Amino acid sequence: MNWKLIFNPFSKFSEIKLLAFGIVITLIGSFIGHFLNLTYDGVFDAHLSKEVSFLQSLKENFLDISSVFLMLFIAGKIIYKKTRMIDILNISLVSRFPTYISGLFAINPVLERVSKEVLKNMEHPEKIQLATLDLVIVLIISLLSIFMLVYSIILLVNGFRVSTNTKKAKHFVFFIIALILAEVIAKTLVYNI
Amino acid sequence: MKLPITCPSCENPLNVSQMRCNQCETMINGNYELPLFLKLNRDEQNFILNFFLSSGSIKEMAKQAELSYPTMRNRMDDLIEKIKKLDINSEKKE
Repeated sequence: MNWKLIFNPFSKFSEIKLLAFGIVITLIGSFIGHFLNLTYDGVFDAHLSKEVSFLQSLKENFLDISSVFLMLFIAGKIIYKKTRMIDILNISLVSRFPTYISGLFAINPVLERVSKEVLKNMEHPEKIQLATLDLVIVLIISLLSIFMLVYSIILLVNGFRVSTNTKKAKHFVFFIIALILAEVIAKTLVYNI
Repeated sequence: MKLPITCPSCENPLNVSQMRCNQCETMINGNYELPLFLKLNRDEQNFILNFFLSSGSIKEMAKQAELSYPTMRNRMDDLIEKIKKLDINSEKKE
């Protein structure tokens, strides 16, 4: 398996292939959001919600992608004048792939059972009774979710590095600030539009 | 045979000290600096040659090397930076 391609597809694939892949996974991610009632209320977020239509899910993805695109493009242009819109757009689209995957974890009935048990005994945590197998499954899902979050960040970092030819550590300060701002803007827009 | 461009002992750039005519065996001794192109390593020389053969199209080069456009453009930018530094260094020596 070519790990370099998995963690840095931006160094190998053409902008057209990446764009096509990005659009397809955004549509699939929006379908996942609709069928599993997930809200994408942030750059890395996928939470269970009530009744999410396909269009609403698509709108949330659009707002998240736009926020990341705008902030990373500004940061990219500051660092490197030759930064192209298409490359940053592809990073914004493709880096959401792990978020859609982690959304699939929500269909696990164990998670629902455990969260109900925890919520029921919120005020008396000593009364919470969980099966060992349930705990193991929750632990595995948590670890996979963390891995997906890290994977998404790795995709963003590698994509940004390729698009802006960044090698200096100080340039990643711009990247981190841009990502934090993107998260704030995405959350604000998703809850207000 | 591969032309050595850096000193194996101290890694500083090497100069040409002797040239010979293969026809009449005349030898010239001196201390000549290598031309800028020859100060680059083999991969960098090939990169410039490929750029020339692709009619100066980074996009075409990226396609041939099965790499993305920004990856190829970054290599080009890094090489431009290296050549600028080499050029400044040789100007200082003069």
